[in-house]
Amino acid sequence: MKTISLYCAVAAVAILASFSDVFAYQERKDYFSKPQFGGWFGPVTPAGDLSKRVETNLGGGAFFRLTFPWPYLKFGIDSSYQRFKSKGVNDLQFVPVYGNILFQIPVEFPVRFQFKAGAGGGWLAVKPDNKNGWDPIFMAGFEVSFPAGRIVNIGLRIDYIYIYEGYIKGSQSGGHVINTGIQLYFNI
Amino acid sequence: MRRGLDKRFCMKLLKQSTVVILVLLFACTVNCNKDPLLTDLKTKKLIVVLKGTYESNSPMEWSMPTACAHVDPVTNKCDTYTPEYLAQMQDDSVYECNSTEDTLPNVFMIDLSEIRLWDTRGKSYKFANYRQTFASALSDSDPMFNGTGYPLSNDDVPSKAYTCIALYIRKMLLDGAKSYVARDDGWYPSVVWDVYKEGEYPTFNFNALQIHSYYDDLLISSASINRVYPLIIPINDLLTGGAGMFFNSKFSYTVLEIRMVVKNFIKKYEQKSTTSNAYTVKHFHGLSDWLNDVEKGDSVIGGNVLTVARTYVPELVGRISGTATAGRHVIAIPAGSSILSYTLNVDPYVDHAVTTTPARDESMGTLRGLNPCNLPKKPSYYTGTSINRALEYFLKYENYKYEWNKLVPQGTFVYPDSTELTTYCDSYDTFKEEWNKYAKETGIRSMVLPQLAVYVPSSGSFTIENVMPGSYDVYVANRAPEYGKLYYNHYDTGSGTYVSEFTLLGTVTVGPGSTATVP
Repeated sequence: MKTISLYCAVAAVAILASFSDVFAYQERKDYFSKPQFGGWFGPVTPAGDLSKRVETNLGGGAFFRLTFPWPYLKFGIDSSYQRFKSKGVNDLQFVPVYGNILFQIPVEFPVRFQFKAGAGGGWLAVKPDNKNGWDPIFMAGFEVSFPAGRIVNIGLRIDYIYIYEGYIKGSQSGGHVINTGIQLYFNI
Repeated sequence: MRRGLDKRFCMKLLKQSTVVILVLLFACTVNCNKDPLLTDLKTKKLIVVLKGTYESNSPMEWSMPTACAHVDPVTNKCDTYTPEYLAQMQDDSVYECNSTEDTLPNVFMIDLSEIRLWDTRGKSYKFANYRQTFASALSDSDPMFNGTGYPLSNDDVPSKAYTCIALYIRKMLLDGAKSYVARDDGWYPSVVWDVYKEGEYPTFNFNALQIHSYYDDLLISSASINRVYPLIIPINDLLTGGAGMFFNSKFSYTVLEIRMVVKNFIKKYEQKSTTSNAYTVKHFHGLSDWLNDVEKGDSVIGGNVLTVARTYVPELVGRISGTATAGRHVIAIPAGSSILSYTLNVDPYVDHAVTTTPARDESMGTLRGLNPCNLPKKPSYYTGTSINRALEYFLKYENYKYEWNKLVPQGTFVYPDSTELTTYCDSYDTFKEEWNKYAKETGIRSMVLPQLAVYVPSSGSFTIENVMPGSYDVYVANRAPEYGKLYYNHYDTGSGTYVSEFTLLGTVTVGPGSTATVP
């Protein structure tokens, strides 16, 4: 029985060893687990009520990520600059700064799928009222990443950000923003 | 052991991450807004209201004269107009087509592409970049004509001073327009259709004709002048000393009221087709040519959209009440300002020839007709193939040359009161001088409508609503309003000054929430 087990083990090792890709993948995996930083840009779109006041524009941002010892979980800090203009006088500038937890689907694919959720604060400046200030924000998102070598990753992302104003007297609604973009980031 | 360490490390990092997120949230909440910014972006504190009346509240009733005096029992068509209709509703420029089948208009339509406010530096704010359309029945209950007004869609503007508002009017339409074709046995009418709000309606867009014709085309600047689009309305609020309006978002609401004189200010005009072989004449309705006279042969009716704008803050307003002769207009103007700015000098061309009373005399002719440089207009080229119409064009052209030569370079111009003109319109300088005199001395370009006006009802007591705090001179008109006309000044030979058709009732000071009574 022991002999059969030994043979099986040797056969399994031989089979695994013949698939060098498996080790390559493991190697990439390790790279992906390193701390990462990068940037993104793409269309930022107001949703809900906000979409009646301001329009879609291009926005962009930067982020930094640390991996937990469990490689499928990351912690990220994200910030971006988003300016929503309109055909008229309305104008909204939005700088979200938030932390988020990223969860990578623990299934081995050449591309990586990550879900993320987080919270933080967002600086807003509105025209024509010429007012600005900070509001709490909550976010959820999804990313697809393509490793391009040991250092570079290329990804697509879609984030939903909710700007919460319910705690302020007189507030009628919060804000909904959807960010989509292409991102480039590096394993360091 | 290693596994346990990882787990602890993992938990530690997770806790730290959570703390970072919570700190970010906390930091923003501590420094957070006291103002709901997104709600501010959504809600508007500047309310823009559009009215179609001379009065700011309590407008007079519609008094359009009845069109038909007698209906032919055989054809069941109108065969005679009432004298009031001919005198008040039908402009003197209607002369080609004598058909009696025109009817009164029933609806006024306006199509606004956008509205802008201009600040003191001339920067424009696209605060109402929304296309808006309104169709109003010509009735006393319609919000456009009952003193309430239609609220427009707009956003707020930054808190600052603004000098004027610009209305980008795509179209203004009135119904009742007819196109007449001349046949051997008379005029054959057909209804004129125009597009409003992407649909076809039996209406006529008179906004396209709101341009001047009688002097602009001889000015060098005429090519760059656009007097229609946008329609610029100065806002002469008392708060800014007449220099504009001041919007402050600290107040819950500020109302910007725009008034356009449409009620009891509609006339019928005529337009001829010069391109087709069929001899067609169009009768349409537009705003009264009280300010800028429309003469025979004119193809445009410009300079007659009379507007005024003002702002008030509902939290601050008071009112002015008092008694006056019923059926008169009462207006309130900033204390100390000249009433002559709100009325038109009627007689700059017959200076000193007018007696004190009765001041105005229709037989003097129109202001435009009295201008010696009111040169005849060249008839439009006929491009059809009808020999009769071509001959008619040549006849008109000969007549045009005859009329022109009477004034340029030399001739004799006799005023209706038999005084002879001593200077002729024989040079460009004279032309410019005379039209400048026309503009300056008649006040045709400087005349403004009063921001506050009411019509005194039969009870004799009036109330001017929504009056911003300040001192006002309250005037009452000496006469009842005439259809299609506003008010004049007359030269008083005794005092050597102009006298208005308004008499001072008294001066009042209005405070927030108070009612000032005119003594």
